[in-house]
Amino acid sequence: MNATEETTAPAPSEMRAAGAVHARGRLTVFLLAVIAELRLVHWPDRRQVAAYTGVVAVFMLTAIVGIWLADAGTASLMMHLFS
Amino acid sequence: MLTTVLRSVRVAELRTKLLFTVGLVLLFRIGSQLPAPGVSYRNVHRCADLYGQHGLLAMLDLFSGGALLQLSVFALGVMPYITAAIVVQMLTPVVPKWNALKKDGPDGQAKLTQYTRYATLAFSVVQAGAMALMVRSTPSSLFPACGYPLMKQTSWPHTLILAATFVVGAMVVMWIGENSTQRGIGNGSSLLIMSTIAARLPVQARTMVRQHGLGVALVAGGSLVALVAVIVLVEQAQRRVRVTYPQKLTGDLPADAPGTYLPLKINQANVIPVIFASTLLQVPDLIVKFTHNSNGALAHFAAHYLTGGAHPVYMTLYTVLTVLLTFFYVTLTYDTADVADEMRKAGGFIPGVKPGEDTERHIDSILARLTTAGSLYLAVIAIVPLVLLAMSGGAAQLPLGGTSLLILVGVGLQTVKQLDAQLMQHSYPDLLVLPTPDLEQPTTDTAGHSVPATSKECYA
Repeated sequence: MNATEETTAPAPSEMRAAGAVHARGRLTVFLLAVIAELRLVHWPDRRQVAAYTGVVAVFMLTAIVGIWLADAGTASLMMHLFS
Repeated sequence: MLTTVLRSVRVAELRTKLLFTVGLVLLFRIGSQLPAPGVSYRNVHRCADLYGQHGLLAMLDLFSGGALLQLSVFALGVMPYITAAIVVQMLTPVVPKWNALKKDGPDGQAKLTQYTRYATLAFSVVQAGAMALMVRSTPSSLFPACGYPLMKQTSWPHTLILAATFVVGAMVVMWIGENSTQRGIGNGSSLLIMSTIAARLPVQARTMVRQHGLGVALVAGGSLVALVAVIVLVEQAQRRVRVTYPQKLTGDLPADAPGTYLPLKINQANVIPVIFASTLLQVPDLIVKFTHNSNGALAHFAAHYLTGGAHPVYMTLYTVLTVLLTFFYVTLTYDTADVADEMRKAGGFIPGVKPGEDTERHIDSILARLTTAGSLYLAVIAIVPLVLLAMSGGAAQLPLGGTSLLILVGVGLQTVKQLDAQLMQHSYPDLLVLPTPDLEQPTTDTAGHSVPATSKECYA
């Protein structure tokens, strides 16, 4: 493949022709192509995943506590007014 | 990343946006608990406590912000707006006039937004009418096992006022969602749904601790964090398809060819297919309830396999539907022909691939492979909480399980990223200033930034 060409996972037909897989059916060939495609994906590294997970966890905790407090206050007010 | 949030609080403009968003979410929470006129607050609570939450009702309640089963002024919640937005989004590639509007820039988009609002009104009127009729009868179809009257007076004028209140409530929720998106931080509608899910978690955590003990609850919490990490990993992953644009001449020398890429997510469909799949699985139960035929084969099938969510048949159907609907949604909403055409018009091309049809086929093939992985990922995220539920005896669960988790993580990521981007925009003036060794004590600019005295001279 030319260095300037876009990196591409091999097409199922290419894989079959290249002997990468033997006659295992179209589904197997397609699933192998899916795995090959996933290898070309840019995955976030461990540090990024940890950072984002931390942020999401803090965001969720803040939202849960804040909304729970607001809801509890509103519910007691409504109960007082309408019960 | 955490410092992003802390830094944004120090910037006046971002602080205003944050407070505006928080204010709107609070308004939504208050409206979700404010009873609609003519509704018996005490009886509604009695019935809700007796009946609990099951199936489609639980899901509709989730999207109403917990307001549906309280018959509050926001009883319809954000559901009519979301339904309208999805319908308009899915019809846009199919209706030529709408497709042209989409490509027409901001004016066309504004027109499509207006159509979404009309559709929201139409959905609200239908849902509000049905809701008011359900509430009017005793026992109501909303709580079939509860004999308390939900309305104080069941005359037609009172029923009409109730329906009108629900419609106006849905319009106000739409206004909250739109304004939060435009003038606040993050996506308004998503934040409103997120607030509903967040509101339920403390109660469900408490139930889990009571029923299974602290040990099980801690293990469930740990699994939850692991699932969040998996969702973050997949949602942040990108397949970057290289695109090259022609070189431009700068004076006598050619400038560097602007190489860029077309980002394709593994999960292009987000959470929509999971929501559709769980809704479709509730349809047989809904048909049985409306036809009052509890002895037929459909009733038997729905009662044995489709309620509760922990049955293997339910899980299998849920997985299959999620996979199929993911392909359906991505095919409908991601127009590869349009992407290839836009690329060709801009003079761009994917190296090694001819512009036009070949490019379209190339993107299609990548998308098909990614969507296969994405649909399986969605199915796994949706099913894992159900499997945990089955293992724990089916007593405690998250509202909508994996769907809720996907929404929570998605909204969290989106909001923090938007905050980060806006903070970056704000920091540009600082970046333009070269630091000098004889800087004076930092002072603060009008926006609350810490700015060296020399940079003030640069601004002038």
